Amino acid sequence: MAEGLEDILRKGFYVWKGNLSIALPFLLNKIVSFILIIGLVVSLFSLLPIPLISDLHGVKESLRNASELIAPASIVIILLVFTVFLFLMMLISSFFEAGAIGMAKKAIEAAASPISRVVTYSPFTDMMDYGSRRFFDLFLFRLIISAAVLILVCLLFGAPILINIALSERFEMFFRGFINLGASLLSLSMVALTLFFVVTPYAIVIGDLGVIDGLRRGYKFFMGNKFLVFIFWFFVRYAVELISYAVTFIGMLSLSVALLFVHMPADILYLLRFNDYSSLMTLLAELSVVFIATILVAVLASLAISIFIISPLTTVWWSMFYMKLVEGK
Amino acid sequence: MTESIEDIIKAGYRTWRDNIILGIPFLLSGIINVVIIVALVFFLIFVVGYSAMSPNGFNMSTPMLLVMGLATTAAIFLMLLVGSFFEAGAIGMAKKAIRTGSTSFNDMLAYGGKKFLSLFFASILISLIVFFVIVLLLIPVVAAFISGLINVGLSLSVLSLALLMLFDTALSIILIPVSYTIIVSDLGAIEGIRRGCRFFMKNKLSVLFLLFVTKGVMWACGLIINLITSLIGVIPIIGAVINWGVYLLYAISIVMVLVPVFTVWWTRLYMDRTDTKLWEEPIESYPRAPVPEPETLTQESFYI
Repeated sequence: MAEGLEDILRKGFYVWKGNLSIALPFLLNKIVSFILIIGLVVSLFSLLPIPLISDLHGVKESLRNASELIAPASIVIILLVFTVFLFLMMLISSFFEAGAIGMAKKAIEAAASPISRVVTYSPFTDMMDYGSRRFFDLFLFRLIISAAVLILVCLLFGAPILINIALSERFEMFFRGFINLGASLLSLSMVALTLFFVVTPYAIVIGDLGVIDGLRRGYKFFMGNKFLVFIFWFFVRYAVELISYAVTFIGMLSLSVALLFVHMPADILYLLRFNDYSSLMTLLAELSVVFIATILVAVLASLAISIFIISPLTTVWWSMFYMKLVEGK
Repeated sequence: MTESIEDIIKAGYRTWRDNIILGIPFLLSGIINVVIIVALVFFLIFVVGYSAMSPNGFNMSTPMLLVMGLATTAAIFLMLLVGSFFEAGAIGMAKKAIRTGSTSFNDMLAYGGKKFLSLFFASILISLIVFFVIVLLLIPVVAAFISGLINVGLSLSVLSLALLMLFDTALSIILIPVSYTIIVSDLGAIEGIRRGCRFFMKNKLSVLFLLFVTKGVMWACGLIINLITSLIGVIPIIGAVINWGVYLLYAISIVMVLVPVFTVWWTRLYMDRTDTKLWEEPIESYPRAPVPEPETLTQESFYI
């Protein structure tokens, strides 16, 4: 234990480099959620009042129809669909996250003892195995954290708003102050929640614990090792920031390549002076295509970087952190 | 004999706690810089006012502009010199404090006087490199615009902006160890830059780790100060006034606490990774030297 955290980071990096397949669950997660989002959009459209879309003759009528059709009942249905959708997304991402942590664990164990590398290492089975074993506990954990955040938001922002309404605007001069206070308290408590339970997902999957035991172990570990958790978290956070920097760079590169294909007039003022609107419009259209393409490339790059580099790498780092420091392997 | 980052952080914090005087150079440097800026602003206002008072209306004559430019350049150089002097002094103090457990104001004067020119030349050299790279990137852009290839020019300007950002980020990380190399290893400017880069290349992870920890500490302090100011800000009008005081206190505490602690961390990291002796051999007549003991630090709770 002479090297400490740096050792974990260095070895974790090599484990990630040697096991790029840890990106698999994250890739599957993105694909499945993409399909789900399409499903949600389709189902919402089928639930929406059709007349609103198809009755194009007589806007007033269709508006009246809409106000009749968007009755409380359909609002409830839409809310229900949204909630079910959110839960489903959470379940699926918990499944894949558990799978990824399980894979990271296997990879770290394999890296520690070279003999076992030959024996059993098949990414897909490991993912399914760990994912199905502990996904529900992980889901419950995510649910508890989200509920806590929701309650905090309601308390910190709801209370001043309610008081403001109750005192009929006489609270106005304190109102902004309380909202500011609520915002800073919220950011602080979000950080606290993250730090308290930062090892909990790993405790649930790697330590094979239930959600309550996982929460307890995460909290206890943080309380015993505040300093280590702090600086490791800082490192992972800013390392992710540094890696994400590549997205900006790729976006700018693609912008500079795309700009080569724009038919730029030699003198833009010339177009304005002679009211040559058609070529001006062509120029604007080309420029907007360039910008949309750039944004598309940047989004794709950020997705790829998140799936293939950031998520697997941080998972391996935290798994290793958990295995070394909490379980002492 | 390498310490881990967490030991460096803990030991560095202890070194600072035993030597709060380590904050003095940064405080002095900040005060002198503020004085220089205020003097410059007054001087510029005076010059502008003098030229504006001339009978034929408000016009800038070339000698006046020349004087203003000279004054600004002189002020920038003066600030760089002052900054170099106090940074050299602070790093020297940190080195002394890490080695012997205590330091004094004289160390600052000694190290500052001995090494400030090297540090100054190093920063001039680095600025020259950056300037050179900017010019190098600008030449093709300007050439493309002049020869009428507008979209090539635009594309090249975006490309060179991206490259410049990349270069700047890389340089700001790679050159962190330079000032520590120059002072702790007692080198000149060029050799210091070369060895500093080599130090980074050999210890990439440690340098990045410490950089991220310092960033994280700054961020956490910002979070806390944000909470305090928003708590005080609830009071309608007086709160805003009090908050100015809080911000001033925060700025002073950054200068007096955070920056010196960071300096001690970097100095310790540099000394540790280059096998500079972390403490002096205890002499017989000096038995109870307050020696930091890096070995005993790892014994804190690693496991639950």
